[in-house]
Amino acid sequence: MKNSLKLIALLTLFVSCDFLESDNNYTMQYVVESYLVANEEFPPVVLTKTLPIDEVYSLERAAVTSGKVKVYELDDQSNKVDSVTYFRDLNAITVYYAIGSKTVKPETLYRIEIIVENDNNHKITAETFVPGSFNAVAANSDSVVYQSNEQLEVNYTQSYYPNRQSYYILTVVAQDTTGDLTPFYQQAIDSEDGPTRTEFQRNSSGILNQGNFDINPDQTITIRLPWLAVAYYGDHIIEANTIDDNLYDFLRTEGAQFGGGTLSPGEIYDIIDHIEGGTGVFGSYYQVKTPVFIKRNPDID
Amino acid sequence: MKYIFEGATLLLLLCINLIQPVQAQQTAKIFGFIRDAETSETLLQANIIIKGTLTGTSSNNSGYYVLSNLPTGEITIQASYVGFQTLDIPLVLKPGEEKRVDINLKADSNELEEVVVTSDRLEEEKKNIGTLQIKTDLIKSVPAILEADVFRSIQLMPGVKAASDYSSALYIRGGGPDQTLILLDRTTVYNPTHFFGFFSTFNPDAIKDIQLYKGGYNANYGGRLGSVLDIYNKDGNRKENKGGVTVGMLASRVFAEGPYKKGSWMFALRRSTLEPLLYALRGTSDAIPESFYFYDVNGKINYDINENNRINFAFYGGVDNVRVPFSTDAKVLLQYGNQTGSFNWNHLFNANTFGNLTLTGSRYFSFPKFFLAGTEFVRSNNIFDFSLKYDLDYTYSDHHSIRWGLWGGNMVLKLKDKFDNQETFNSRLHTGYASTYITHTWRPDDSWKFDSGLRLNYHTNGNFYRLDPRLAIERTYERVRLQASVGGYSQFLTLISNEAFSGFDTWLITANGVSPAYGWQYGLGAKTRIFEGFNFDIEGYYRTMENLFELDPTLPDPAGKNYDEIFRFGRGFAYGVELLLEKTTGKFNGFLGYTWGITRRKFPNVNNNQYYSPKYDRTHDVNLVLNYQLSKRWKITSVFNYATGQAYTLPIGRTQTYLNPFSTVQSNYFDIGTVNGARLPSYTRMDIGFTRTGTFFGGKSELQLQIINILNNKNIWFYLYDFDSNPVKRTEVPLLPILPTISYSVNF
Repeated sequence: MKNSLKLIALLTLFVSCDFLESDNNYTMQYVVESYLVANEEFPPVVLTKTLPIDEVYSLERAAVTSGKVKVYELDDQSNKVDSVTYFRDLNAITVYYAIGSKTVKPETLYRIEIIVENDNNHKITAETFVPGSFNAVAANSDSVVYQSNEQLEVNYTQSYYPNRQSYYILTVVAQDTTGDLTPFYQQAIDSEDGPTRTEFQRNSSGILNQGNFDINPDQTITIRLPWLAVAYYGDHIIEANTIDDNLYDFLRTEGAQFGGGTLSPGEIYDIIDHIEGGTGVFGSYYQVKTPVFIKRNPDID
Repeated sequence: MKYIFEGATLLLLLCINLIQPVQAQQTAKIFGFIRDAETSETLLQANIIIKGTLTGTSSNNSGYYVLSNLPTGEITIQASYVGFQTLDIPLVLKPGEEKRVDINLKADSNELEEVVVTSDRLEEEKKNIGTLQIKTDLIKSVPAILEADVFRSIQLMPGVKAASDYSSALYIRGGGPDQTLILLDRTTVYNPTHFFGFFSTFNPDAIKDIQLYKGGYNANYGGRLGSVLDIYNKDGNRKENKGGVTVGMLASRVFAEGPYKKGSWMFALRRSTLEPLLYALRGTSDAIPESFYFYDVNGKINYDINENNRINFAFYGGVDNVRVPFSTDAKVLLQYGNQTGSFNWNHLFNANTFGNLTLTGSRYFSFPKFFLAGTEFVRSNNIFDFSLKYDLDYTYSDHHSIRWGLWGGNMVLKLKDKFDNQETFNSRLHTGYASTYITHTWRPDDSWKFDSGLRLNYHTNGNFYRLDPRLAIERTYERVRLQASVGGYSQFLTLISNEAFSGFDTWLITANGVSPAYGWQYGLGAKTRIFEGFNFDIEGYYRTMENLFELDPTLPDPAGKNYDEIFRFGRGFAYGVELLLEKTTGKFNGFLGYTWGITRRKFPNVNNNQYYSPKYDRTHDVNLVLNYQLSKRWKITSVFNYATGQAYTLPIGRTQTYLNPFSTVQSNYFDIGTVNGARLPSYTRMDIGFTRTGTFFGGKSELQLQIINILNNKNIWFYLYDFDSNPVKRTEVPLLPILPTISYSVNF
């Protein structure tokens, strides 16, 4: 009996060891941000650094001004076949612009390399594969009445991305933010501590898999504009974007940091960034734009 | 491979166990049912022993017992059950005699002067390793948040943790809520919550017995990695018509029960009574529901065909329904609930053989609808589960008994999403399932007991077979029982849920590419009576969890993905020590429970692929429950809880986007430390309740005044981070403040 109790006590002592180590000390990280758009000129690159959570954040404090930025086009074997050199705009603190007017090619692999000269030539790298082309082949109308039975429907050809279906983000861009808001958004800005009206200029869906959309007999897909996305009356541009893996992982994990889903409140995961030597996003997408005019609905206002 | 090896080892032990020679002796045997003398309700897991010895057994979950290997001549047997008076029954037995002895136990009187001191050793007898039996009296007497609740009472037990004040979900020995199999009258219940998780669906008026198997249980249960909660509704009073009404702040209850010619019946109804409060609050906020109610109905009908055959039909139905217009042109509607039904047939073949056949049906549904600015999001989520079970208890010699069972069923899980009137997701998962088990109990003498078992599980979806071996050994001394157990456990389902809101709960199952989770449980314990009126239990456990499959929490859209691509696959482990000190007798009684526990998980892309603590990991957890009978009419109950603060992820840095092409507003995001590597301040809460009994038009009345969190401790649920402030402002989201509740019950 005594021996048994001793055994239990011994086992208790043994299992009392917990080998989990926590590291909650802040370490500065470099932050890269750039979004390549197929068939458009090479976009700017923002290079900053993280700041401690309890410090005042500003672009000036976060800026990294000593970066040497270059984007390379890679071939199938990841050999560098072309490059674009960036310069820092002295007026924009921490934004680097491409020299020249080369454009981003769809279905092409690009690699960014950044050397931070003031930090022992610290190297930051990332790669993105630009989604394949697609286009809008038909729209049912260029003008629709808000919350009427006829919604804007646009037929798109299918985009390409290696080894997976396409991931879409639909963005509705109001061309005039001085006009009237639709009732749902008007109530939002009227509420105490609500957002400002310009915050609704660009309304985007979450990430939508191509599997959400039926494929038509002509192999096109039809995307319908949900009324929820419409914040203003008037002229809009509908942007259909297919995104690369980097944007997909960045956006889904960044969104999960603020709760919802199956994570418990307070349980925060790191973002998935695919950047070596830093964090942030070096992504790409293919974009197709379709104009539409949203008319008032006399039955609603 | 390791799993197979460990399985083979246990199988060998099982075989050794089975081939022990059967010793024939000229002894006698008694058998029968153990019942409540007042109502004739069968008493499950009640104890019966030869007085003055260690020889004894427990009734099964139908109240049936067989006590063999009895000496002949004049003997006295002693029957006991928690909350009932111990009964001595003198018998004269002849060699080879098999005698039916149905036993009726009288409940302990609540009258102060009649408190009965029962034998502590007897009450210890029934508790196997990892097992607890929860008294319904405890559920009704401990201070409860708005409504007496089964799950919140279970959360007071060592080894069981709560996610927050707002959740009744059970986190047992490091497992999440889906690792506990929840059975009501032998039927699986998939979302046993009301009020979006605030409390459980089980109406304490309707419940007879609650058995919690925290771990190390035998092969008669399976299908979950962790634990089993087996709840039985009352059969109904077989002696006289009885009933009761309870009026509470959140809900009111009514129940009735009684006999009829060849059986009994029971009916219990509970419904929320929030409408007046909602009416009063309407206009003060946009978020007040236009409509909100929940109800549940429990019923059971028993019919005795004859002395050896008895059937019953039990049913349960519960619904939560809410409609909230939260803005112009925006509203949310949600209806969710469960329906279960079971048909049960007990058949006593002979003294040695008892069979139980059960047909079960269980449905869970959730129908959320969002209407936002002319755009609808509608989900239809259904589970249909129909099964047939058969359990056979066979005592084949003085020292050996076996139990064999079969459980087969068909489960359909349907999930359909529509966005803007277009179907965006449509999944219909279907699986047939079957399991069979055999357990063997060997009692070579009064002091040793070996329980071994094997369970074979099969699911058609994915064609998965899993063999789960189990073994438990017990050594009994005069005042101490030492126990050890080891077993393999498999799980074929996973739950998609949110700690803060259970109304959207969704279950997913294994399939091609998604293999069942499995794990091993090891337990070691001692149960003892340290001195008169005091019991002390200590248990240690270690668990592994392999191939855990969970919906990827960062998955934005499952449409078009292969089934296995929507999951993340990980592993985990948990270990801990649980202490339980009980004072079971006298006008001052209660218990002190303490748990020291560690639980860890590991998933790809989380915490740099290293182990981390899930949020509900609490290293220390202490619960003190005290009852004091102040006078004949007044009783005071208090509950004190202390627990280590929950794990959370500490944001250590911040950054933001400047060029995001998909939004006008640039987004901020965190640089974090170790995932869940920080701890909230420790949690402390003290509740107190006063109960006054009296009479009301001849019926027994009970007035309960309770104060939750009487010290008004500012416990923290989680932190919110506000990026509109610079630097980022951290806000504490609190748990429950001081909260008084009142209820009034009348039993007639």
